[in-house]
Amino acid sequence: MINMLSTWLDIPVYALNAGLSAIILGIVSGVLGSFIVLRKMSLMGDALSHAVLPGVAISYILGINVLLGASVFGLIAAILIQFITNRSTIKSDTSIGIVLSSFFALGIVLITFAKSGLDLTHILFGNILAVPQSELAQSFIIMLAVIAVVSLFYKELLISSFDPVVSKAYGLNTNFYHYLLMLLLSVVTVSSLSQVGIVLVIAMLVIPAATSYLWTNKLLHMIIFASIYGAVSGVVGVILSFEFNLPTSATIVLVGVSGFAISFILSPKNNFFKKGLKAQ
Amino acid sequence: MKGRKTMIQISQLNVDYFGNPALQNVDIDIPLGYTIGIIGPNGAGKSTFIKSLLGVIKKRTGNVTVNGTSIAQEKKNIAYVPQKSDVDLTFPITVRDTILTGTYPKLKLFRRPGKKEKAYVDHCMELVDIADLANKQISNLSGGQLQRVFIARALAQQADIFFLDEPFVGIDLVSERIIVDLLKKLREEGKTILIVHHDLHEVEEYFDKIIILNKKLVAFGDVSSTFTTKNIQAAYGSSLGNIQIKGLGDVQND
Amino acid sequence: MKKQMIGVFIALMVILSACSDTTSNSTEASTTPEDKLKIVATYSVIADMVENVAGDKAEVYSMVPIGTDPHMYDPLPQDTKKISEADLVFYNGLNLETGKGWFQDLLKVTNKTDAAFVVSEEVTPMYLSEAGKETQEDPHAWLDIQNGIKYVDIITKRIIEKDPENEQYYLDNQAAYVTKLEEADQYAKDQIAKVPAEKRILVTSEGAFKYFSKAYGFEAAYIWEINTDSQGTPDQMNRIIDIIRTNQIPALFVETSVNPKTMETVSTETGAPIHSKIFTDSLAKKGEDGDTYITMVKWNIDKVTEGLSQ
Repeated sequence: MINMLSTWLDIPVYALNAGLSAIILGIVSGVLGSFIVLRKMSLMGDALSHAVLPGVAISYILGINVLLGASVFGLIAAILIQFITNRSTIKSDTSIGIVLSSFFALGIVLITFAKSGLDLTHILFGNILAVPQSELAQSFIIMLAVIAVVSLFYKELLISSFDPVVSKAYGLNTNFYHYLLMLLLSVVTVSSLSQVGIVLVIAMLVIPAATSYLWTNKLLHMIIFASIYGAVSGVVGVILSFEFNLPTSATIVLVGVSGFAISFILSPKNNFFKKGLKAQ
Repeated sequence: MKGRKTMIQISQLNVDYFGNPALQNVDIDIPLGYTIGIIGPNGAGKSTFIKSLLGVIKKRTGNVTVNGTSIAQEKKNIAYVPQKSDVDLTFPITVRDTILTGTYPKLKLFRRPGKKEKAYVDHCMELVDIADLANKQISNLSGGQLQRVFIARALAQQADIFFLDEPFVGIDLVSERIIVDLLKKLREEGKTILIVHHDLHEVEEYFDKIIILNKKLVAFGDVSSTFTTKNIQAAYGSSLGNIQIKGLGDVQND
Repeated sequence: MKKQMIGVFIALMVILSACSDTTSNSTEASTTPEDKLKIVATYSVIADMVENVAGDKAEVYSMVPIGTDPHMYDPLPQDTKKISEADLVFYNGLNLETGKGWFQDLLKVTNKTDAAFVVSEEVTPMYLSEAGKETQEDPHAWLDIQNGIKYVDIITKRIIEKDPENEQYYLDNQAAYVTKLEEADQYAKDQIAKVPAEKRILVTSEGAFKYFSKAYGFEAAYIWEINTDSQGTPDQMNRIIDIIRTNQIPALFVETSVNPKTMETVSTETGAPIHSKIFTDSLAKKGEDGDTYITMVKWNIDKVTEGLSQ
């Protein structure tokens, strides 16, 4: 199918691959990232992309599917971070720092044990120019799954992000929704890491949502705009990197940030020029 | 006469705050259908009290039932209005959508709010006179307008019991009037309203009964018999200096 | 909202195709007439060999830049473009271009797996000696010039298959080049004969000199065995420092495509100086000494014999 699309649009397959990969990543990051940003969990993307390393090693040692093993470890890391934050006066950014670095270090040690000649960290550091079609299909399915889950649990996710206190008060299991998001984040992080690399994954979780946040008054609009913005900055980044022979992932990030900077200055919500305009 | 079962029964409630006791051994049976004020000095544990009933704060010990059923089962039927300062006002949400979230507790898991819920939200907006601000993002409201939004949200829940935490703090007189009238109307409909009150003004006008707390239960009962100088001094200690409660209750000359 | 999204998506694809049209007609100074072969080599050593065989009948593109390690490389858009347009792709194999799987993935994505040929086809592989890794191949076969000749033979064969019309041209080039290579091989053997046997221990950062050492009569000592390993663990350091001290080795060598810091530490610790840089996974920059395969190997021989004769 990609080949048909390629001939029809007269774009080489590898470029189309990179473009589609960027679009899928942009959309899924826009959806998930909106919740991450609003729940003040932006560091979690970074934390999870490091914390999954032991999961990769153990999956290899036990011979189980890497996506599964790594995601499980991501969830464990999220639980541990929550545990440390809740059971002490240590704040969440500190817990994240502790878990992130210790899990990553554990991963490095386990990888040595796994005695694999394969560079296991290969699983984690991909290049968007070299995404095989099977992985593209996998990301597409994950994207659909994320959209489905968010859609199904939309009102619960909304209210637990907006007002966790009242949510708890009326009996909502806020922990469940927190860990649901963490699980989705783990799966998305692991599958994206192996395709596009760590720089892009972390950036995409935060930048489109943050940019969208500056322009919207409704969660649904924020999610939609973030997804579109993520996809567009992805495509523009791919195009520019091809035009000027630049590292593709990094170019996408810079495009995204530029849009953010412009929004930061121009957004009425931000009152940058102190015009006193309130958002409508 | 209301039967023994139509009440909120609280027994042996103990709540700690970082290892120190915030509330000790509170035992009350609160009859349903009244407006009840919770008063006491700063740090008395008033907010802690209602938060612990709802499980928003963990209690060390204590059993809470509503009409004989554990309160955990009844939470959908209790509308909670926390202090205004607890909410993230920068969240992308409008007035109308905020009130709409009040319909969520009664909606099943995969259901979205539909026409019925949206119409009810419009009705609630009318009740607090905020319909003209429906599409505004909530950080653009005054204190009084914001409070009315949260009250409307509580109304949208169609609950029988209301817990409000310092609803009259930092709001304009017009908003206060609207809210007070609304609460009176709810009371006439037989609802139960618990209000943590931030000071001692308007107690006789607003409440049927009062709970006086200072880390433990100081007194509970009808305003006429409980809102006395003696009880207030017992709760507030010497922090109020010489105080006389005029009107109902004992007046002590000092 | 949905209609808007579809509209935006279509607009994106249109933009993408418009821009891509410009890149495919891009300003490459269009010095490439349609009839030249397009050949991609994974790194500079192979590229140099290909140029010597193909002469002016091909345009050769080398992917991994000079001085960069071909084990682990992050391809750029230009690399994907070149591969997708290539008639032939030559790679080393023997476990070289496998870090992060960058090369295989690239071939898959550009659908060029059939046009890619391994140049080490006729080489007898040597394996890693580290415990648990004995089935892994050591990639650095080309440092033995006889293997380099085998590379050239494969390259010639594949180019002729692709362009049989010019067969004689390629065969002539091959003959001339191989003659030079045989001379260089002999030169190497003569030079090394001048170094006393007990001094022929070559210390480098990576264990890349197995083939070289076997061919020219050295013992190879190294800090880490292959670049995808951990580089500079305490065990590795202790081992190599011990070897240097015990054998009183007078000179150390560091490759141009690795981080020199670890070897510098070894040098400070043992007092043995780093005699010079040495070439393994990459040629020197154009214009400098060692910018072709032959001069690179000659450089290595000269510097090593010089250093160890002290």
